Amino acid sequence: MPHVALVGPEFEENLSLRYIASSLAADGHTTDLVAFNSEADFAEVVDQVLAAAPAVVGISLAFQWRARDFLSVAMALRERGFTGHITLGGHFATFEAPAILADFPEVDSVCRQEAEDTMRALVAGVVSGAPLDEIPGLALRRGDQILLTPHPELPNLATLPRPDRRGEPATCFGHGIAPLVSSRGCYANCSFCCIAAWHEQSLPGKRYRLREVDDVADEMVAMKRDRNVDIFVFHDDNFFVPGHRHNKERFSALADALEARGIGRYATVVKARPTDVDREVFTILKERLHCIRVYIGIETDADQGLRTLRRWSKSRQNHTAIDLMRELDLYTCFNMLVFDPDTTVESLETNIAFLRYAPEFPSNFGRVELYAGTPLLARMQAEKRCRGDYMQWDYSLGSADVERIFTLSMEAFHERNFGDGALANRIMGTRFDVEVVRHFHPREFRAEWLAHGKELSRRLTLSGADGLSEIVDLVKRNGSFEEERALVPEIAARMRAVEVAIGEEARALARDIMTSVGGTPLTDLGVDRVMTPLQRAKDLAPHALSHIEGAAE
Amino acid sequence: MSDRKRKLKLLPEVLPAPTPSTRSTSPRERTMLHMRRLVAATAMLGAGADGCSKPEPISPPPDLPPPPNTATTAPPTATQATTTPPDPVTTATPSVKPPQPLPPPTYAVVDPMPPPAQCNLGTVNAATKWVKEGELVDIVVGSASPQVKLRNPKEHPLSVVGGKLATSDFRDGKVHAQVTVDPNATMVVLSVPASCPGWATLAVKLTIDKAKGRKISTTVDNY
Ligand code: B12
Ligand code: SF4
Repeated sequence: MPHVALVGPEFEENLSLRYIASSLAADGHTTDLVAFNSEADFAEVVDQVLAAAPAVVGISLAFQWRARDFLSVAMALRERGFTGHITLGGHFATFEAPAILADFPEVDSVCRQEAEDTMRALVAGVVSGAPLDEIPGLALRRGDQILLTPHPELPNLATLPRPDRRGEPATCFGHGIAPLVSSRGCYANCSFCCIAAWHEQSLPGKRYRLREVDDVADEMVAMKRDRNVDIFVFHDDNFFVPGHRHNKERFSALADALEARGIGRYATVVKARPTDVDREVFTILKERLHCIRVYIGIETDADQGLRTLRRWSKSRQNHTAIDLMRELDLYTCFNMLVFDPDTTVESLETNIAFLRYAPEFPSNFGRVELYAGTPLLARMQAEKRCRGDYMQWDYSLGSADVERIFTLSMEAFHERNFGDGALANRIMGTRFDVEVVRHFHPREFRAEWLAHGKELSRRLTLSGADGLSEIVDLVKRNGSFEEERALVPEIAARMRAVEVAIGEEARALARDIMTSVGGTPLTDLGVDRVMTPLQRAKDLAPHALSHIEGAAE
Repeated sequence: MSDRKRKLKLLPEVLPAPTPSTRSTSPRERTMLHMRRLVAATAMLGAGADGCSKPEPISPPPDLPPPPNTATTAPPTATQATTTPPDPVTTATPSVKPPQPLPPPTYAVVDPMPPPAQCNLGTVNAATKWVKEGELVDIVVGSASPQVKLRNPKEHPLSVVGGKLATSDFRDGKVHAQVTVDPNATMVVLSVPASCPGWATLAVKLTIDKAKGRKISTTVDNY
């Protein structure tokens, strides 16, 4: 039977490729999952694909940011003489299929939208030599034209084979972690979001579809039984449906189904919009579905930002969400798009105030990016405000003052927010460690760990809010270039010092917990425990292990 | 026939209309440069890590052959006129360490934010002059912005399309390079690692106009 190589990031079990792999397996095809996470993997990725001699190579281009990495794989494969079929899939590839096919003759086709069925048909077509033009969901090159075959039927979530789970699951303090989805899409329609744009094309107006709770429960129970997974990370774009009553019913039904199957102890991790937050629903989420972390998409607290990003939510709902999470003592984290095309100094100040309002919850801030297929990109193109090309659009913010604040704040905060090992991200892992122990090891758990975790986030967030405010003030008073050069490097140095101190305390906290509980945490002690074995084999080489200070195992 | 027509109808999908590029390099050229850099970086890693050779490692190849199964139907480029496949490639000799690792291989149950696509190229300047006309060109790249910092080529090697790197140096925050231009090349691209403030690689593109006495025009882009 023909073999297929599937290439994509594998920071955790990559559901995009693993769903496709299991669909191909249903037709008797074998697959390799080839992980490409960092530049260091590149040659190995190409070697691995060539060694497998697949009939078809599928490359995931869900992430626009990594497009050139993955297109480089296609180029390198051709340079090394690979003559099989190369196809792409995912959000970015779907929206930019014509441009990619025009610019990259190395690529034979793009599978648009959700592609389990398309990929099955494509592999069958490539193997049999049948014409591909009749297969829905493809983009193909035909002479100097790009042919888009009809929009594909959406895969039936009830009958779709569950994702391929090869390999050992990742762990946190000995608890198996695995991602899964109970739905696809999101009912909201934010202007910047490629998920909304994507699902609007296949299910206009509704944009989401659900799996049956019994099916989800079966998958969870099977993962617990067969793989010892007890932390279930729901990668649903939005775990919630419109209407609190519906959520109450759905979550209760899922909890019932899990209990009826005797799942035993488990925890969940989900994502929500601020508008989904409701006391009753979240009480069920915490107490019955054992949610230990809920990401809440705050994104912006400024009225202007809420309009520009088309968030369909209000500042009041952001505050209520934070208040309720505090009251329920439920771990929350969030990101804020404090810079958008229309940001004013006033909206920035509102967002900085929000960071101060919720400092003990890990958060990050940045600029809204222009993703392929989104209404925000279309708007910026219509306004002729985009720079670059389809691979990565850049833009200037609406006012010169805000642009100056943005530039200066990136100088001071890029490392914290986006750098290698950005602490704004890693601190989320630290808090997760604490929550895992709180949930699964109540006897060993010490309240001061939680207090310390919150305190570390508070210090990090407040230092950031202070630094941002100083930059805003400088720009508001029209500070000179000399003032700017004195202030911004000083803020950057101060932030780095705070990060070093907090980073060390976070690691000490994780070591402390590890000593009491055993197993290894997610907090960076040298090795990321959420990597799957596809990555780990390389990264757990003896030299890497020696970095785990005081590792218990 | 009518059935076939119906099948080819596009509903309800609307793909974005192409918007003209504002860049001086095409997506293909930048991806090619990127691929060359990845090849060089991993070649370095392979050499440094355990000293044993992998089976048939990818080495910087002399030229980009057209893909085997599409060679006859070269498609139009979606973005701009520069369709010529880049000239032969050479990569700076591996020296110290590879360029930035992208992105960190970590996850830790976080919801990371995308870094901004930001590089103020207006502040980067590149001066070029022939040392030996048609053969050896001198390139000096500098940045006038405190946010855009060029990297020392000793630590973050340069790479060249359309020529060979003869020398490289880093003085006063500027990158100095001399490139031996390939015979008949009309385009040379020097890639220069920078941070602005996130990691970026600048593409300094030299277009050589043979009709005008090998006059060089220079643009700077990032990729
Ligand atoms: C899980 C996840 C992650 C995980 C990565 C998991 C992994 N693969 O290792 C983590 C947290 C590490 C992560 C990181 C990032 N993420 Co993320 N992530 C997601 C999330 C929430 C779920 C993805 C998923 O599993 N979906 C379920 C599967 C079944 O659906 P799917 O991915 O759409 O796959 C289907 C189709 O797309 C298609 N398909 C996909 N790949 C392929 C490949 C082939 C060959 C074929 C034929 C078809 C195909 O078929 C699949 C099956 O139907 C998505 C949101 C989303 N809904 O996609 C964001 C999302 C993909 N991430 C996003 C971003 C921006 C990032 C980061 C860049 C953020 C950052 N700067 O750090 C990084 C980049 C990581 C990287 N690649 O280097 C954006 C991408 C936007 C864009 N257009 O570029 C998304 C869409 C969220 C959003 N709206 O902003 N992410
Ligand atoms: S709520 Fe989140 S997933 Fe839903 S459309 Fe908005 S940004 Fe996208």
